[in-house]
Amino acid sequence: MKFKLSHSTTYEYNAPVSFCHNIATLRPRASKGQQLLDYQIQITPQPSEISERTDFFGNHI
Amino acid sequence: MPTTTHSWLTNYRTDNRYDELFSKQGELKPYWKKLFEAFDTLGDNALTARQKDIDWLLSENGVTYNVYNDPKGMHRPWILNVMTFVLHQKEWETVTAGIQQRAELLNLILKDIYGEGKLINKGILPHEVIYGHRGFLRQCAGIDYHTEKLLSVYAADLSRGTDGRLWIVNDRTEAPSGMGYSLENRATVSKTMPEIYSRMHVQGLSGFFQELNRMLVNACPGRKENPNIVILTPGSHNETYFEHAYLASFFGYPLVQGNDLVVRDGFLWMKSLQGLKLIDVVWRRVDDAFIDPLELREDSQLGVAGLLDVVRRKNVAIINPVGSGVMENPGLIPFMPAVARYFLGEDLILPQIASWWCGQEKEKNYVLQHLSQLVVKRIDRTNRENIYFGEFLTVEQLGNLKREILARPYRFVAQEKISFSTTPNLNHDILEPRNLVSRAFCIAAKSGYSVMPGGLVRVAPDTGSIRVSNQRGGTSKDFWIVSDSPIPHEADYFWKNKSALAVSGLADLPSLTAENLYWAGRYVGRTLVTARLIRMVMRQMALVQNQNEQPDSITLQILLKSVTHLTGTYPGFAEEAEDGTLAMEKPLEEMLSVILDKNREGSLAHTIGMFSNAYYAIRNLWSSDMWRVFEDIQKLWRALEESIDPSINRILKTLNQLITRLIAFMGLIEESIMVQQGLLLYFIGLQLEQSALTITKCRSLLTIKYDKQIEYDLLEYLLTSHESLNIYRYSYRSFIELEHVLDLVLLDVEYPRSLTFMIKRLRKDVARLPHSKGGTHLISYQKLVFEAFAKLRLTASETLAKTADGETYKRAELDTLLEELSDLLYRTSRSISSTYFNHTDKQNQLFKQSFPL
Repeated sequence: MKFKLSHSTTYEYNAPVSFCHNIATLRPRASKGQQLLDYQIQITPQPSEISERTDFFGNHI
Repeated sequence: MPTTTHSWLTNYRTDNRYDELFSKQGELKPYWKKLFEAFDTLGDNALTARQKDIDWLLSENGVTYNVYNDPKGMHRPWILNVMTFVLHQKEWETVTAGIQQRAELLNLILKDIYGEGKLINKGILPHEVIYGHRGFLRQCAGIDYHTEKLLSVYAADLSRGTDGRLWIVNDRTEAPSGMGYSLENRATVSKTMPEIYSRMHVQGLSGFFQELNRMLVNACPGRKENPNIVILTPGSHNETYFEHAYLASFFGYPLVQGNDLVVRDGFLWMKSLQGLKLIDVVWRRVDDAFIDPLELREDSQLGVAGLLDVVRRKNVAIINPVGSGVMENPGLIPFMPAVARYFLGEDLILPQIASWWCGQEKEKNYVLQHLSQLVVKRIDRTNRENIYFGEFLTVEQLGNLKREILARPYRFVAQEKISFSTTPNLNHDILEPRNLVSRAFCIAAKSGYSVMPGGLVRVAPDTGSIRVSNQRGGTSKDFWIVSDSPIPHEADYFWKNKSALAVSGLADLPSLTAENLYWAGRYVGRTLVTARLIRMVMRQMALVQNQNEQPDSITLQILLKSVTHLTGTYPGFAEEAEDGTLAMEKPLEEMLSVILDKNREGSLAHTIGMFSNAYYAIRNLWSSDMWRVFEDIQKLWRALEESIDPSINRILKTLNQLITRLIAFMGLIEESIMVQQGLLLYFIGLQLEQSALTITKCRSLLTIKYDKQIEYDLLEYLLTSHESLNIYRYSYRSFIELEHVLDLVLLDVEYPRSLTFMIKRLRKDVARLPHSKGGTHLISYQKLVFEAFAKLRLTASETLAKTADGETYKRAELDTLLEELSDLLYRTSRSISSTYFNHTDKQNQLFKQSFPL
């Protein structure tokens, strides 16, 4: 079976915010019974810095 | 058995099996004998006299230790005993080798558990000991460090066992404290007993500290000549804040808090007045879990969001690396010998205190059977709470403990009771044996590890006590490693400072320090002006018959109201209170509250408290003279607070002394801190505050026209509280007129206490701030100050002294001017804050995850 998942997070602030550090744990991992076919992440406004890594348990961050 | 001319040891009773003075055969060890013979040369009661010298020196230098929940407040004085602890070089060599070995082992374990995991895979370490420890941070796994050694700073607590050898009691790998205190102890003792010190051939400490410096420099990613190094502190409320400030000023590195730092573009930066400065190395004194609120504990105000990511990219080095806290783990003790054989093929050099980890069936059963004879700890809370002494527990407590152990056995370790050795401590002229623990320090050096020749020794607070801990009022000692032959003399604490970030310019000043200096200036100004006004008003009150009745004199009523306006202690004398009472009916009571109630915002006591906090936060910039005067002020004020029902005379006396000391303090600040270090910020704060308060004073005393006699008196009192009466008489003769007063206090361009002068000075000072443009345009706060200055220059005292026709009581022009000026100054302060201190806005956490660390 093929699944298409989408998730959206929106932040609303009371006052202007100059900077925000985030961790997104969104990307599904490849494991028994599932295989990731395609993955896209869109962030607005454009992040000035973004990086990806794998954590201690093998999740994608 | 006294072997010297003096009866040092006649009263020295040791029931203890092991006292440091005596060998196994019961003879006084030769190096102790030498020490006592040296003491002989000092004469009678000499030791006690030297002890007094030490106490005095420490107090002069403000050496403190904060004890949490101490009723006397923070800043407990550090206690150092004149009787030093001595070990011979020969014995120390073995200890050094043992500590080096242990540091290397812990380093390798640390590398392995966050990396390949061989130890756990091969079963040498059970996984619960590591993964079950709160200090194991999964977020730190897999980080590739650029330094060869992970563990850069290591401390070991040692105690002498029954076999006469020194045993390891505790490992400290997170942010071990004590080096600064050892340095201070050594400096103090060598100053008070120089002859003894040189006779005993004691190894000096400066070599070790040079290596520490080199270690920090070499830790820089990318090997720069002059890396930017900072010391990260949790702040002035931390137990060992004194040490952070001390080490910062000793090495010349900026002392920063979490909010001074920010992560941008994959690098770590320090917020300074000029802008952002790149940081290469962080010597952190903040615990692991608090260091990154993004990835670790989210409620932490002490760290920097995104810091771990910068480490992963190898753009910053953190000493010790985050996650090293897992090595502070008594659960490791039973497995260390196996680890030593695996990694190094060696046996452990230094013995460890016998420990049983309850995660293993046999050991757990042994522990449960012998619970009342053992000491039980959790593997991950060895710092403070939760050490159970079996012999002191009630049956019920033992039962509870048993249940806890059975529920999660891997969390617990039992150890045999430490048999401390005892060492002599001087107590009122007599030597008493006291249990001791010593801490040795070790740092990563060019080839392996380097151990400090000495360390920090702490003894129990009295002869009967078993537990030695700073938190329970322990005493410290200097630690001497002596040899039989003279030591080649080392240059004292001097080496070329390789860091670029020694605060050498205003632009390099960390933002928080700058803000603290600014507020330090404002609070000292506020304290001084408030004290002077209150003094003047109290003097008038002293002349009144019954001080707790509404005063007849209208003048006095106006004065009292001005106190409320100046201090902001509304409703005070100016308005009716919520319950309808009028403070004016009980003026003495209200005045006492304005002076002494430290919980009342605006009161003199409250202001002094704020002043103290602001200064304590920047203590790494002080000179020792400043500390002495500061302490004087604290003592003076405490004495007044503690006195019951102080008379007006007592208060006046205290106010006089307070004012004198404040002036001394202000003079010292101007001498001791350089402009580049932020003195400019202090001046700006001071001028702003003094200007604002002058305006308030004038508004409350001069804007309403009263009867001639009242007016005359008010003018005189204003001048008195402004310390300007003499100058007035010199310039204008004895008769006091409003216009002349306005000229002197508000408009004079040359008189330092005049408002115009202060604002003129303020103009000059703000122009020197980093963002103030020298050229054609003025930045916001410059415009505001300029406008204030212009208004003052463009008016004249005759206009201000007039009252409008028809409305004969209010001097509208004066009032309007003062109101406008007040507003301009307020906006100036806001503008300066938002330009320079705004990035000190604290980080805020948006969401909290649900896995507690």
